[in-house]
Amino acid sequence: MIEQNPLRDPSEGLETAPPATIVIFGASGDLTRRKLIPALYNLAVDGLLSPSTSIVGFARRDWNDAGFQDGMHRAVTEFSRRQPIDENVFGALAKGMRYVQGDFDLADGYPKLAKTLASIESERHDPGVRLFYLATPPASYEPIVKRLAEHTLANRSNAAVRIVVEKPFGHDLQSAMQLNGVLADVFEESQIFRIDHYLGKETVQNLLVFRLDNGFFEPLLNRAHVSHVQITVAEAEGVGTRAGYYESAGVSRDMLQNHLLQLLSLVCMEPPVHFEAKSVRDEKVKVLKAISPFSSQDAMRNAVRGQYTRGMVEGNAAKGYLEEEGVSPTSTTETFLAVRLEVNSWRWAGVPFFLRSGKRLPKRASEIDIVFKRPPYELFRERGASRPSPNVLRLRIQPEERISLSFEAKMPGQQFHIEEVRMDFSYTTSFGSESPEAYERLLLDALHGDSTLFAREDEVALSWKIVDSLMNAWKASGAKPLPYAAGTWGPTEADELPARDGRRWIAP
Amino acid sequence: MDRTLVPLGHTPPRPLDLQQLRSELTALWRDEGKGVSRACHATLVLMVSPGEDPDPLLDDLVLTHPSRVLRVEHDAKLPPRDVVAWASGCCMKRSSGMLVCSETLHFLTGEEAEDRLPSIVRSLAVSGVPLAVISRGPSPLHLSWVDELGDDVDVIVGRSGGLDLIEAQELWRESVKRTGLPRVEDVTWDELRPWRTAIQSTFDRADNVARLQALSQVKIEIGQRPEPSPAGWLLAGWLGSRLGWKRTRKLGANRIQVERPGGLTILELQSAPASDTVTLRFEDESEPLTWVSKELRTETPSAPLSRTLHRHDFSPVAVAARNMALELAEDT
Repeated sequence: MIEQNPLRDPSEGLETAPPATIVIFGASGDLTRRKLIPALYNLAVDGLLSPSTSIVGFARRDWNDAGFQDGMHRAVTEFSRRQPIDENVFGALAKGMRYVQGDFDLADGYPKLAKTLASIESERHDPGVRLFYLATPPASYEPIVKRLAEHTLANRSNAAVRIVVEKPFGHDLQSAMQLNGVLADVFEESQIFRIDHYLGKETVQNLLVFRLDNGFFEPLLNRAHVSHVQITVAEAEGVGTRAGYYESAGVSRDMLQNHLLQLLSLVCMEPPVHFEAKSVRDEKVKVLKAISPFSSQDAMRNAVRGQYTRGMVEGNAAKGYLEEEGVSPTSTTETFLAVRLEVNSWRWAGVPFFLRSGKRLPKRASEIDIVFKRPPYELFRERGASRPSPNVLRLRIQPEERISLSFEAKMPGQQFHIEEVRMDFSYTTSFGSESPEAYERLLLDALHGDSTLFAREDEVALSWKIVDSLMNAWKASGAKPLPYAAGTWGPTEADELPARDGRRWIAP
Repeated sequence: MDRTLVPLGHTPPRPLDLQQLRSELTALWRDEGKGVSRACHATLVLMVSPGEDPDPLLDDLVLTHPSRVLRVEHDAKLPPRDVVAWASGCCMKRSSGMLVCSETLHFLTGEEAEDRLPSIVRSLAVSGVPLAVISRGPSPLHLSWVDELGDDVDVIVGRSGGLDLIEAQELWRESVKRTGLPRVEDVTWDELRPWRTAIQSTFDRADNVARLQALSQVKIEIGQRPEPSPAGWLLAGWLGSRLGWKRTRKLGANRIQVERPGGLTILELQSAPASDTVTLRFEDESEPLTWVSKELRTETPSAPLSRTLHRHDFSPVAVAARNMALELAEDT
């Protein structure tokens, strides 16, 4: 009896996902419109979705199947990276779109959902993968998971039933553990995909390839050669329409707990034994274990938090945080964070890691700067050359994805002038084709059941431990976030973190 | 993605003088290439066969695979030993407005000028990036000047679908046999991807998978020439390697019997005067499964070649398919 499709072979590379039903909770929301549906459409254009793919939207909005299909057509037209839209591809995708109206918290919608899923899977003669995607406010995660279990739509015994959870995974260690507990009651860890879209970006994936598939850099990435590492995730935007969430989160929960610490883990991790989920995530966890939580004294000395005030960003006047709609006028939520960390491992002991993130900074930019130690002797000083700049390996994640290496070179001419120059690798010029969106990669991985680029329960818990220690120290001190003008790189006190070590922030 | 192609101009055609060609190319970039990125991911030597129009392929290819292209074409009107050359450039306009540009060096060669090509290629190949020789018409294995380049070439790309069966078999044999450089690749494998994807996806359905146990006949009609295209044999090779076939006997021209786990299947190849078609029939005489070329996902002209060029290692699935195609097509 043949049970598996013998014509499929994963070694052939990235192939079509298996037949699947993707249930999106929060189908009328921004994430679905801007990211999920355009990503699914792009996968369909690339022939990476099975023709037997169904998308079931679940939300409160009063839509029917046709209304959902129309709404998603508008979403693809507006947000897909591929224009104009291939109507044949969208038409084929839309044929599999169904809509179920329901409240996430109430039982009413779930029997309808069960009926819809049963009908799709029976028509397909194959249950295929059932992927629940929680594109909802975090408060709805728990009731949705419980309802799924109550209506036997999900269980631990079927590996083809999976759930994708968007960040934030809780708002502190305790709530994260509680959420993990709720998920673990219904799903095995291997069925849970905690998405951090940064990990789907090409540069982030390339970070591992760059480190571990090239002979020349990996031997240098350690305490003997690296002076320090900077990781910056900067946003030019303010809090916008997210004040409700942001007020209770702040940048520490919004960025440090996930993006910043994920990037740090990838920079610092040891080579995994295999490139598969468990080995990669085991190594990342070791990095997080090697970071000591902040004591009260550490937090005061090695962390700076700020809150933006009025200023100019990208040539336009910007409100202060306290003036934003939905923000309490007495809010002490931090919109900027800079920390100095150390990773207490054999490879990295003593190397400072400076992490910063914030809103209303001068520009949107995410990058990792690995700064190498200067040469031991300034040979060319006697010829009038200035002190050499340190070599910097810069991994730019956004807005454009590129890797550059700065080094010193003699300027042409009779004088001995030395200038810093850069070797640049850009995805655009080297590979021509535009990178797929992070969500395309991650959705495809989730459909294939590959969790390498998703966060595991223990990673989440360990990163919350670090963030909690910081939050608790700030709370105990009663100190308010320091003001910084919108359009600047945070409070001036943030500059002191690297300055104390004789270093300075590198402008993205 | 914005796929606008912006031509960058060209230098005048002249009898080959590499020094002059290089300086004219430099001038072309200096004069016309201000504010653009000159990108090069590979050196591609494209042999243009008589009657072939490579422009749609090249225009599309450089959009995703910025390269220095050496386009070589015979010109019977030229004196036998002559080579005429010129350079041109074209850019793709990114959605950001940035222009990423590639260059093409054109060579028209007289009938007896082939022996000049290795030195031309060696001289113009961009260092540090792969060098590929591509012939979509005649077999690239029969180009003696390519042999002379030896392992300076990283990959030789042929197209079994355009060859006669004997030459296609030679291409497959070389592609699975060679372990060192240059690798030999068959772009037909990548041209068949939409077929493989469509057929494979059908068997994601559990009820269809079960039917494979009773597969009685596979009929592959591909190609408009009188003889079935080698592309059909390669597709049959893929099916056979995945389904565990063993050839048992020849039943007629292009018709053989294979043993599969649990029974026998007849494989028949024909040319397709209308649309290319693949049909699978089953012992229970249930509805056959049919795939027709016009219903397959269409790809951009360069997508298959781009995949072939990006592959840096042997695909075990492709190797198994080629080995099986060799077994199935023997003495047919």
